Amino acid sequence: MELQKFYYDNKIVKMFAYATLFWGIVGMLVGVLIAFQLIFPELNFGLAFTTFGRVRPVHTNAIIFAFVGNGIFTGYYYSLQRLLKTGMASKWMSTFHFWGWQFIIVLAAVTLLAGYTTGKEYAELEWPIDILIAVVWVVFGWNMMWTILKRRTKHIYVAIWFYIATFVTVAVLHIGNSIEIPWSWLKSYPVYAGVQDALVQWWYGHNAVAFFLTTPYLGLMYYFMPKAANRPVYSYKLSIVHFWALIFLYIWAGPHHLLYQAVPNWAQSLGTVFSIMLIAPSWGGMINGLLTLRGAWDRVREDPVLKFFVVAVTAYGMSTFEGPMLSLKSINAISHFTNWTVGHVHIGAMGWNGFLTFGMIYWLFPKMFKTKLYSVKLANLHFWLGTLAILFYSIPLYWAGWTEASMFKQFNDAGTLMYPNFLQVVEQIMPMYYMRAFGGTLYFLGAFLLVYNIYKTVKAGSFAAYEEAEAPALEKEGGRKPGEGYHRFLERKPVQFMILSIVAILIGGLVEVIPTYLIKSNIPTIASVKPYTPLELHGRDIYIAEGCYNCHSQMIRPFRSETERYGEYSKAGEYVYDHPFQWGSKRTGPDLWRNGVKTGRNYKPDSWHYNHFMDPQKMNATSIMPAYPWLADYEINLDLTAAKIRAMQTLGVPYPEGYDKVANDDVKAQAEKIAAGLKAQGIDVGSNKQVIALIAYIQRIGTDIVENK
Amino acid sequence: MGIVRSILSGIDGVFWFPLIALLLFVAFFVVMAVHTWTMKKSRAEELARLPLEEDEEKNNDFNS
Repeated sequence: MELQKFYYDNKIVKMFAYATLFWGIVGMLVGVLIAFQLIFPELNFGLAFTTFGRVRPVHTNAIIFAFVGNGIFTGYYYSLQRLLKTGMASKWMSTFHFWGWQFIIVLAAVTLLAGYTTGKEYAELEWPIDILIAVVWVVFGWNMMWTILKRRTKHIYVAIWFYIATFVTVAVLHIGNSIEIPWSWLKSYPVYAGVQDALVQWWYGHNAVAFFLTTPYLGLMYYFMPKAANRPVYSYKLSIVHFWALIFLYIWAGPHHLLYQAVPNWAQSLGTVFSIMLIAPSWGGMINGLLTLRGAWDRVREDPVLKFFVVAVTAYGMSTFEGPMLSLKSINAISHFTNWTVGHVHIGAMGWNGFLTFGMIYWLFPKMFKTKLYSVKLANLHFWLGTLAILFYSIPLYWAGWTEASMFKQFNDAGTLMYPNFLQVVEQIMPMYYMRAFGGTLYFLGAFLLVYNIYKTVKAGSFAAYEEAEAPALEKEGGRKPGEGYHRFLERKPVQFMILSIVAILIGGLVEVIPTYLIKSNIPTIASVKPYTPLELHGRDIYIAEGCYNCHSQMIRPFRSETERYGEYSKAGEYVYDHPFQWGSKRTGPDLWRNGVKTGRNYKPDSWHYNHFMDPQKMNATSIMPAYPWLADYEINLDLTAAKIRAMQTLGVPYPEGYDKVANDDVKAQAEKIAAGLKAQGIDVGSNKQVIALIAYIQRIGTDIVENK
Repeated sequence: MGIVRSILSGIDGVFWFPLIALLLFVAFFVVMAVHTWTMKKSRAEELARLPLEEDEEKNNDFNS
């Protein structure tokens, strides 16, 4: 048959690769900063936009969506064209995708630092950016599906299945978790509240890990690992089972983030069971990756690309074994809310995503620039720095996690807590925080070596933006032929394939979400639980804007060690007006849910809170909390009260009809009372300041089920 | 919350959705697994070579 000439677009690959390097450096640098902020609170600089609570989401978003995101697209644009023997269907769509994505990243960084956040981890971006993400994502997917349709190969290699699953699932997750009611041009409330919001958020959160950090990278692994080893994948059959098992199972596992928390028991068990089952496909994938190197292990000694890949795939295996273990309730009781979780995710982020990206970049640039890598020695140095960095980062945090759990749960002979002060534990794990910061710095330095090495490689090489290739055209084949298997048929039908993938992932979502909405007994109502006052609502929005949830939980698990420390355990019915839920996932500081309960052990008067916000170290010398002096300067925006109340009413929060018009009277009355109380304690602060609203909120949460006089 | 609940409870027989979903999931997975196990070895090997075809044609590995 006649050969057709066409061009691979290397320019788009190069652009995404540069973006990966740039945002990688930025994201890691921000990570180093927040690691040091936990040791030296002065590094929060006393400024709103440099405070841990705002900067930490910048780090997580930068690493996930900017570094890994651009890494995905780099490998995807390179491999997709070659696997399909065609250029991208639309150049402008590729370019729009690139600039759209970078624009989103810049908007994300600016808005997060400015305090515009939804308060939901890894989905912090506000509604206008959510819409933009959806648009750019659809353009990316459209271009991909179009390219697949005009391919010159009959069958679609397994890596592309992973790309298709990534596209559809991320779209579903992003839309599902971002349904919100805007009440200003940059702020909104999610339609879900409390338990439902938690379930939807972790359905999203867990699957963001699955379908943004895992499936696209598995696609890259199935392409670049065989390329670098110059061997076909160990077992193609295993890769098919790996694919279907993974996309079916992952979607159900979300509730394992909520074990022992106020969600129905059946949902918790569902999360655990599916998490354990996930070991099988995950390890199938890891083994498939590693065995692809059969007969090529001698090359691993010399080739830095293969070294990075081996550690990446090993890290994938380790974290996908650790994940299911952390989903066992008995282990989760220890690990959850501690630094163990942070160590766990960094094995995945630094080892799996980071190292696979590095290996891919070291492989791609010499190819695209038709030259050899500038320095293999430097790449090897990077490899060892990075590997040591992962160890220095994670081992101390595992140690810290165990230390935290042991100290939090220890009772003395008299039956009271051995370490009743949260700071006793913080002081104990300080050395681990130091080592983690050292590990993070090493990793950052390694990435710098990569950038230098690539810079020199690029200088020495010559780049062809469009690489010529030729292949015969694909014959039109239509429907299923006699004797052709269904899966084989499916493999050349991308649209049908995409629809099946959507069905697969929706199934899990349906099972998880529908019953919580419909079975009344899942969330027993508590008559005494009332909506927040408008001042408390303002305070809540400040709590969210400052990112307090990054370090404080609002969820007391039903353990004696927790009820002794924090008070009565949390009930599902207490959170029915929490749009969004603020349960948190990590306790760098103590739980706050019952802080306002006057008979509780953690109750502090308003004046204490005021002084603590202004200068935490004055109240507790060893505290690592940042200071929030601007809260006494910035005013509560009363113009927004009515819009907030109306948004809440739309969501079913029972404020009386017409309350939006008079709510500001209640704001002022309650604020003046708090300001007067502070004045009596010698603190002179205007009743219109943000700190007043935040104090009102802190004193309110978790108090509805007790007599609070 | 109220919105979502009212939409979902408006669907007739929504209680069956999760069960049907679970059965579909298991059935589809079993079919897929059986199909894969019974796939011809030569065919699997051919598919596994897809990423390497380009190199086999050009045989220009700059990196090694």
